[in-house]
Amino acid sequence: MSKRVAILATLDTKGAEVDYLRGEIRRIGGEVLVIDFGVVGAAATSTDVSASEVAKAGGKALDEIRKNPNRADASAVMMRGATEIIRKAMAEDRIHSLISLGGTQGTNNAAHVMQDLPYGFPKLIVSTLASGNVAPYVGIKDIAMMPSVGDILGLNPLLRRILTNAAGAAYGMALAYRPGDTAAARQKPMIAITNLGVLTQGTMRAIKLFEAKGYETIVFHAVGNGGKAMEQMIREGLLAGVFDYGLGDIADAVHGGLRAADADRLTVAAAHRLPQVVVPGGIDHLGIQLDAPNTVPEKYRTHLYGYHNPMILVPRPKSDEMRAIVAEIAKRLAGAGDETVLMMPLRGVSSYSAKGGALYDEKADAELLDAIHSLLPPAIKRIEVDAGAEDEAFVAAAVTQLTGMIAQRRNAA
Amino acid sequence: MAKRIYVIGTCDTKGDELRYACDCLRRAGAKPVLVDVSTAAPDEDADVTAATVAGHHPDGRDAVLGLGDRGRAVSAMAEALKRYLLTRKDVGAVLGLGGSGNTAIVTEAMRALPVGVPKIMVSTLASGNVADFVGPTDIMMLHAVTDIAGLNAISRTVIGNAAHAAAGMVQHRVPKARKAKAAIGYTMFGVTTTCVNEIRRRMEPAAESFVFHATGTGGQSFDKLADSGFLDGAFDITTTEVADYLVGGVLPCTADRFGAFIRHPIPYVGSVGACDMVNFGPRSTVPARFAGRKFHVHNAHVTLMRTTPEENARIGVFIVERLNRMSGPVRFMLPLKGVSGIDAAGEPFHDPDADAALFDAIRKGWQPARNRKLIELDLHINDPAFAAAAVAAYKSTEKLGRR
Repeated sequence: MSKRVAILATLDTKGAEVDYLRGEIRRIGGEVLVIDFGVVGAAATSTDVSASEVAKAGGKALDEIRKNPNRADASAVMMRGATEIIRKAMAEDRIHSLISLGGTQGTNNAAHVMQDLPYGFPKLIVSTLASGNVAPYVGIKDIAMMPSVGDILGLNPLLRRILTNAAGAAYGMALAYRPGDTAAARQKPMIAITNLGVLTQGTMRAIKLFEAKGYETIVFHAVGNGGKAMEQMIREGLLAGVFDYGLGDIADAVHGGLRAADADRLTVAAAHRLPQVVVPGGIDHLGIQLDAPNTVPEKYRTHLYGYHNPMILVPRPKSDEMRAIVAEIAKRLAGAGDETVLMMPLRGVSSYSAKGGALYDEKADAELLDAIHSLLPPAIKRIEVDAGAEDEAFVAAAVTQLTGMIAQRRNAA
Repeated sequence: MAKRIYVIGTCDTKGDELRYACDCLRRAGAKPVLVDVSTAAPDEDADVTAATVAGHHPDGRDAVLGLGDRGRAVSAMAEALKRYLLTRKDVGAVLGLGGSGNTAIVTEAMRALPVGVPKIMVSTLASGNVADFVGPTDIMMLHAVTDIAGLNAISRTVIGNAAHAAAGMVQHRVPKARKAKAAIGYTMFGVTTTCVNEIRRRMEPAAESFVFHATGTGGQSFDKLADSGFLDGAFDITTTEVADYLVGGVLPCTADRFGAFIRHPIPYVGSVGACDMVNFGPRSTVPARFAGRKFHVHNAHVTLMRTTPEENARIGVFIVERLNRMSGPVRFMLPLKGVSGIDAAGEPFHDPDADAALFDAIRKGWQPARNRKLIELDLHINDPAFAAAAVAAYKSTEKLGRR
């Protein structure tokens, strides 16, 4: 079966470059679908999906957009329309990879579209900005960025060479792409684990145990972005279950720490009725960025504290601060049903508060447990284990619990 | 010779992932070579072992392996890998895979390869500032999304996509097209734009222009393209990055500035554009050691410092020493009435003594040779007559060019 590469570009300014790219993909045996999401002027070369079709899919007539040239709004319509059209073509198995090319505006808009596409579908941007800070473009996605080295302003031998490579890459990826690649259809079901440095021993134990039971694991660093990437994968239906082992990002979200989670964190798995075991791992400390090494801001003078490194202070939250963290967890889990289980290690929720750790404090542990008893929604099943968070006994119990829930779900289906 | 795809990473921690990439390549019909760059526990089963790579370090294998300091080991391995790869004649593409350490090792070696040779780096750091990894080259960075720790549905897909992209680039190479026009590179700054535009006006439409801003990386891109065989000739009008390199400005060249033209004898017309200035950021960021010097606040973000006669002499020595090593047709132009838009008479950086020191150093160091001519003109660099003379000088060399 022949494979088709979609080219997304602003054809009003990039006609010659798109023409060349299309020719290269065809020369090496691929088919092409050219999608124009330029708004300024007429397309400088032929297209398969015109700018007016894109605008229409985005909910507005192109004429209307052009009459009222509020660029931000116009871009939003075109990006929405392009996303719509690409998703539809993917679902109908008509395209097998996506390539775009552009400068500042083109890169930004193409990246915006690509960030809304599922993991695994090949995405490549040839960009003038690919040798700089690409974080705003790539985000938490698997977007490949190829530098154009020179400007993308008319063809020259350099740009031709770059675009030939890009055509080979986009077509090579399209050849290998199978639609099932992005869906949940896997040989092995996949479990996501959130991790923190102070939970790593436990995470490594969990990986072994899950693998022994026939699961794949995927680990996210629970420091803001990691949780976000995991939740995106939940939305895309890639996961069979979640071992939400590290919630330090919730603690930091409540108290202004470094690793703050966004507003969706801890709500997505429940909303998708995905089996999950939640552990308040790592909420025994905050991550506080210091202005000067090895100092203690006034606010934390009377806390029990340690240092993650000379520039990051890790104070143990006091009783009321701890209650606020637990209240936040309870609030975020308010919509959860019986697919969510909270497991509580009674001997420390990370290596910091385990016996011998810098934040070891049995009284604070008892207060934490009390907060969980009084604040957590009664609908959520709780399991308490008399062990530390990283201990084999606790991790094994959590793995058994989660895999049991997943198996039960599968049998019911 | 059949081209191979070099798959490079630390087998001690990412062996499964690297071997998976090799499997994908073989399935796609490509020929992988697994290269291990582990510094801690090398893998004896790699196609090219870490010991083999380390052996290419100028100070030998022991300068790379067995170091306690991981940071030093990583830098040494990067140097060794770069030298190793440059000795290979069958590099069709390079595919790297890794976290921070391996991204540094592999991209350093990739940057030494010509632009156009496919290079893909799958990295945990590919959704951040990649400028130091990519530099002035065409390294395609693919975000690993999660830690590269074990094969799972995500890592298999991402690594698989990277492998197939590499295979696609290698298997679908273009037959070299005949070029319609000559490709000419230019170095430019705001204060030499008038000159460069006039030269371009005269050179086009018979030639295609590649203009580089003399921002440090701009000059590196200029050199990189010459090294990669994309340029047929050069107007290196704006060599100001040498001033920043020697004096300590923020837009410096590297020690290898002009090196591409020593290695590739293409027609070269050069000058001393903007060598009257050293660049800094906002006025407040100028180092204290330059207190008392003459400054020109270009805008809120750019502060320019006038070079002294002593500095200009050093700049001249740096340049002429390299010109003397060029074996292609070289015409070097001295604009005796000023080297930038702000050093003409009546302008803030007007300083004939400083300019004279620059010209003297070049005259004094100049070694006569049949392929090189030093051309002095009693003109300002932005005078149209200077541009016309530069074009005439270029045309006089064109017939001599080897390409």
